[in-house]
Amino acid sequence: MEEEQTKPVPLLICDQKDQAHIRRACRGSWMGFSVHNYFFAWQRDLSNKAIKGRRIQASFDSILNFVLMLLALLSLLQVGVIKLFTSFSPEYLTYIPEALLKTYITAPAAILIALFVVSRMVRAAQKVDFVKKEALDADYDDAVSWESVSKYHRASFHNIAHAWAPRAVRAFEDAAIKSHKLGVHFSLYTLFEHLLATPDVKSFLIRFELPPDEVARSFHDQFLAGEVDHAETNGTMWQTIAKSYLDAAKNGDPKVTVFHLFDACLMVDPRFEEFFEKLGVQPKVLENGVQWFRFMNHLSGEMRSFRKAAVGRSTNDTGAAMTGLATPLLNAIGEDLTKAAQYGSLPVTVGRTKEIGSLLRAFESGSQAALLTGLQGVGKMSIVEGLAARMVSEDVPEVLKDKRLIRVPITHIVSGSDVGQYQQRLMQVIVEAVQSGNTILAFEGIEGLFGVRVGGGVSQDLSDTLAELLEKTRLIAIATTTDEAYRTAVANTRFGSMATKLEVTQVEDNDAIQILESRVFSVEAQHGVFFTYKAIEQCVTLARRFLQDEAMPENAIKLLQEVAVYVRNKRGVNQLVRGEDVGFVITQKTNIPTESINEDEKDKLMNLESTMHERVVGQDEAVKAVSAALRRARADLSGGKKPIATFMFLGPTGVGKTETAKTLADVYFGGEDRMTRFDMSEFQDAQSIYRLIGQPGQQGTGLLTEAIRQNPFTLLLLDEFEKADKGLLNVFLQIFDDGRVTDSVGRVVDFTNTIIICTSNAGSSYIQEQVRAGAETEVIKQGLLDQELKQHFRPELINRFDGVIVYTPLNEEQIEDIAHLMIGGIEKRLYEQKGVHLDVTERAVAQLATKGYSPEFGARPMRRVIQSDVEDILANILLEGKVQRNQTIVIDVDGAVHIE
Amino acid sequence: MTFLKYTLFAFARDIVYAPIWWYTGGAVFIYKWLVSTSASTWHSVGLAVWIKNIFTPMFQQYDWQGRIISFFMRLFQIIFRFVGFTIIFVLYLAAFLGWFLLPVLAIMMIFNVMLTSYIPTL
Repeated sequence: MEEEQTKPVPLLICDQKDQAHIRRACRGSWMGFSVHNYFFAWQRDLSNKAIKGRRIQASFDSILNFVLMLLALLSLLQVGVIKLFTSFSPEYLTYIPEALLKTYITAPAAILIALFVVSRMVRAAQKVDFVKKEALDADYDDAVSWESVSKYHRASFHNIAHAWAPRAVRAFEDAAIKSHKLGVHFSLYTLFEHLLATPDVKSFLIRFELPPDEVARSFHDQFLAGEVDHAETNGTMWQTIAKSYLDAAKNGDPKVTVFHLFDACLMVDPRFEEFFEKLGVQPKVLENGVQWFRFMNHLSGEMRSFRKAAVGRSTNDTGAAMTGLATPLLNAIGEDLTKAAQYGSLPVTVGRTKEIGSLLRAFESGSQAALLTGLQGVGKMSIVEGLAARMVSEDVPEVLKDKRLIRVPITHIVSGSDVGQYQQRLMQVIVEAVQSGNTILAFEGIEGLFGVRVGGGVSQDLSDTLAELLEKTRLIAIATTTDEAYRTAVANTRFGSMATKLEVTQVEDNDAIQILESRVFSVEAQHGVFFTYKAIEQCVTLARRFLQDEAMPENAIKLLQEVAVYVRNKRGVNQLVRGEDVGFVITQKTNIPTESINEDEKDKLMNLESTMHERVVGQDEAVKAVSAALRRARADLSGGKKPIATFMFLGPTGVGKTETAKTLADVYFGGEDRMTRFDMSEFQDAQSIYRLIGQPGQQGTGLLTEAIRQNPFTLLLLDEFEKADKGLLNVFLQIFDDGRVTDSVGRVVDFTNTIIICTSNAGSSYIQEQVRAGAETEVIKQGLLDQELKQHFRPELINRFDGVIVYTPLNEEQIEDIAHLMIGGIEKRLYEQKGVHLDVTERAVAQLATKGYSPEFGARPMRRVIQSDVEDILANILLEGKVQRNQTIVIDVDGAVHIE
Repeated sequence: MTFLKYTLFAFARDIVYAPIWWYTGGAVFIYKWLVSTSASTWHSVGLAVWIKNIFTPMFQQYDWQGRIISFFMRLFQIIFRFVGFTIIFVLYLAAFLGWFLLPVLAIMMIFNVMLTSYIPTL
């Protein structure tokens, strides 16, 4: 929580106890706080008697009002009907029963009764108040006393209690009654316990996948089971009341709801936040959750005040005084955003006040065109929609007042086959907009106009036509385009230089969560499912990690919709959408195994050594070092600003470097094929950098950048790293450090979801020598770092690696283990494909191992030996058809074969 | 006792208080209502905008024919809208005056009836 929120409000608390005294001494206020000559007072007795009395009175009053009004209206009706009959057709009066002809209440008396009820209703309605923004206008006045407050004007007194929503009053008073009944002091604890049982908070807890009953029970156990010093918490109760009011004022809510109370409790007592933290809900998350529910109340509340502001606005296309011209073409190809905002059909723009502010400033300072640039899906149009909403509530500079904002997709202008038509259509749109005199145009995807030439050759570009028309007509326009299109097409053109450029950046995760929270209701209503907070969070996290073709928040919003459809189709309506569901949808979209998304990374990391040893033989120290470095890299709170881990594998050929990489890809990314491999010996000259990150200005030509863009969740294996050009290594320096690189067309490629492994044979002979001499691995590694590696890599590059791992040559025993593994693989494949068993005897394996052992080449010769001595024999047998399904081929020493 | 306090006693108190409120707090209320409703009606009728633009041609017809037609059209609109507003305003005013007069009239009528029904028995 922010410090400002936890700071107590300076309260003036009345020291009198009974109501009569409070009325006299404190103007009927139990407590209050003063802000710049306003006094916000709590004027509601919370004693059992008073609460019950008010409830009785409320039901009595509504019944009485209803009965009296009915009586008055029926009497008037009766009198009127009798009058009609007597003056027009008195003969029918005989058919009416005697009892109905008698006047019980005369017309004047009925009128008086009706007026009496009206007066009661008006007075009741006058008691209803809304949260006053003035409570935030200035600093608290902490020097006031009841004497000074009593001199305040009556109109500057605001009763906080009157601004409470009925449900909040009900919950609060119920909590009071409950504590009185149990004979305990009404404190913050009893209040919070009761709040946890209200339907509002219960539905909140369900969204966090917390069972409400259990939460209430554990709250009771923690705070209310023992002897609690309730008296000490009395002052905090008043704080909670004041804070809930200020919380509502701060968020622009018209009423204090149960959530403001809930929020205020969290602000006043930090132990409540700790309580939720223990249940696994972090304070930041809790705040987001409260924000979410505020949206729920807010959306309706905001719409109400928004409509109120928009009520006087004319929806007529030609303006209130019909000075404008009708705009048939614009109406046909464009969308009137101001009208949509007025009817409330535009989604709410969350945040982005800064961007809308600079847009308004641009127009106010005389700029005629504004250009919003940003990645696809970053929310450029949402800013324009936010502007439309501001225009409707007239909260804009004079130049934008009483104007229509019309969205014109450029694709609608440049459609058809005739380029001449495009220009004609564009001119017609502008002419209509100018003639209407009250139109602002928002061109979506302005890049579509660039490079379109009328008549071909040297004739004018359509974008120049637009710029010229805008300059000539003083029409105000907004345009949107992507970053890439801006650089390649728009920059340095006539339009590009006349427009004020505003860059729209991607929203942060937390803002994205709030944007999703504001949209989730319509998705829920559409598909009949309910999202948990975790699901929303996962949508944002996973969209950022795996759906990088589009920007935040568009990718997350689309994912949210897909997940809703997925859950409805799978489990039906009225189901909760959980975090795992998002993982399943991501799997379907990207083929990344779900386990690797949903499974806790912790488990993967803890068991890394044993999983790796299932495939990598020997190399204990290397495996240990890789696992430790990976754990270290993940525990390091780099905040996702670096690759998951970067390693340098050193050692002679055939000792398990690649095998380790494959195993890592399998364990961490869920499949050996999730590995992107580059042989760096192919990038030996200085020009090869363009093959790696793309030719300047040409999209999609960088081998490395495209591979990672399309597959961001991958293991990147860079073989023979020392052979790459020195200039190239600088690129990797940046990737290792920031986890990102900019390709030749300016797109940022994200490497933060990759594990990067560079292998190198540099110093292989040194390693072999040292091993032969019996040196320890640690000593060998130090020697490599001190001497051998310096010849190939700069020290800063070596320092960037999370681990430099040395692979030692394999001994005969390990080679035998490898032989076992390889033969095991063949056995499995043979059975799966042909249904035939294979049995290679122990003696045969030992013979193969001796034959395939080579200190220089590691396990490589082993593979050849197995090919010639096992696979060839099997091939012959299979081709000759000597073996049936479910039979066993037994291979013994010297290639002796028989079939069982 | 509590029950009676919040029901019948409160009701009795209200019967006494209501007439006082009607001509004090109620008067303020109905005055504010008259002002705000009239203002919002005035705003939505848009008479001010029409008067301000009386010489501005409608639908951007800036030629002289357009100007002449627009002027008369606007004049007609202004008169029409003014009449409309006046009718609505008179209704509001009637409600406003009714607030003050209706209780008095009702009481007078009751007295009248009591008086007339009293006299014949004399």
